[in-house]
Amino acid sequence: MAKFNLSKSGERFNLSKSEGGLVNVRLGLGWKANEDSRGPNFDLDVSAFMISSNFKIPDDGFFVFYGSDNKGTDKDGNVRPLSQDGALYGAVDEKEGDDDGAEGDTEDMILDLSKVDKRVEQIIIVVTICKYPHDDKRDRRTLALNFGMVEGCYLRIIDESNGEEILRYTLSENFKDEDAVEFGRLYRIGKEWEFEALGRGSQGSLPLLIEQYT
Amino acid sequence: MTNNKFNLSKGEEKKSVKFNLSKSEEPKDANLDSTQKLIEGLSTAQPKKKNRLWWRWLVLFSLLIIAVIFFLKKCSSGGSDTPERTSIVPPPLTDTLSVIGTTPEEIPEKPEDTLSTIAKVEKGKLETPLLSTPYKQGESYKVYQFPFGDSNYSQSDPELDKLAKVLVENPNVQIQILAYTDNVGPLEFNQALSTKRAKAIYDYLISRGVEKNRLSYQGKGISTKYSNNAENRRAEFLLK
Repeated sequence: MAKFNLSKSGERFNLSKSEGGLVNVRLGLGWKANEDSRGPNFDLDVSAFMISSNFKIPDDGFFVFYGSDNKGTDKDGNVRPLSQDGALYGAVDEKEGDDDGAEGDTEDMILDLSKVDKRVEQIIIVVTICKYPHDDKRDRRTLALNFGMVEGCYLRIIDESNGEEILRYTLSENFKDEDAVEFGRLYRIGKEWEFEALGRGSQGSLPLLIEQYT
Repeated sequence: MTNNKFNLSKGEEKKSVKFNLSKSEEPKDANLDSTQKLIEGLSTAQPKKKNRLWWRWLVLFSLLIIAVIFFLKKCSSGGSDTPERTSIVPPPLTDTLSVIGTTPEEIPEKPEDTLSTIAKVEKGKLETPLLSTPYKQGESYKVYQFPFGDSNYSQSDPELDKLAKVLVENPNVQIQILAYTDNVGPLEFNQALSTKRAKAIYDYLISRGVEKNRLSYQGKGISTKYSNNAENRRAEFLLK
């Protein structure tokens, strides 16, 4: 049971003022895709853009996604994409959509706020649908997939020191044709970090967001 | 939208791009059947379109024939007065009044009525608040909410459209546009962003027919007025 529940875009929560102050957090994301057993593989990916004050990543290594060149091993022995500053472990790519993260999360990321590069002002957490020609089976039917076929989207923040769920944001937006959703962002206010719920959908999947933040 | 920076393909085939987003190992197309079906569907749809068009032409042609026959009959029957002809001639004034039921004086002229209900204008200056709209002088009204980091007018907004309409219909009204950002990021960046936002609204109103000399704009920088950051990223206006 989360201490704080967010349900509306724009709602904020100060991580630094949380009891004990949060430093190491796990970002767990979940969703349920209404897959057709005869349809294409519904593959959603969690990525992160660590952007500076000009809303762009300061370097390529601050875009963390399933294909990041830089990789690291987390404390559980999982090989994950890793940000250039070593602060953010990306999600393990689960192509089949089964639960892979802790406690039912579909995918998760691990963040050490103390290691985040000084140039990084915000970390945007996004979920995108992998579509032709980038999907592993190069199935053209994936072009028709969108978040209107996905329900139960949430993002939660867990204190890694004790496993306690601090915050849960349940997306309330209704999506129709969107194939990319910016779930939320973490941003600095001075020396503190806050989380803001976004729930912003767009069409263009991951390529669009790359154009926007790089 | 083209992405030449990063390769999004998950296959092993490497291209000269920054980020490989491809997940496939071999460049095979796995779904030829559905593509073929799509092509077949398109080809079968075309004959139906042609059939519809053919019927339309037939109906039009028939109507044309009927019109020509009617016209010819009229011409051959001569120019004598008929009941239909007299209906074209304007009836006497009394008949008109009895049909309409009112005199011209009973219908108020629109421009005067608009002025009396909206404002009293003297010497070209607006003296009283607009009564036909919810806007009052000296009060600020939110007209647009920007996505974070954005300074473009990217989607229609009913409040902004309403403002544009009011300004076009009331040529004496002047407003000041104010825009804000949320509290994320450096002060200088947010000041510049808020100015861009204010100008975006200014440009939009001009594109809708509002004269430039009736508008002014200003970026106000960071706002923490609302606890919800999305609401802080906004444009407002003040009636001068």
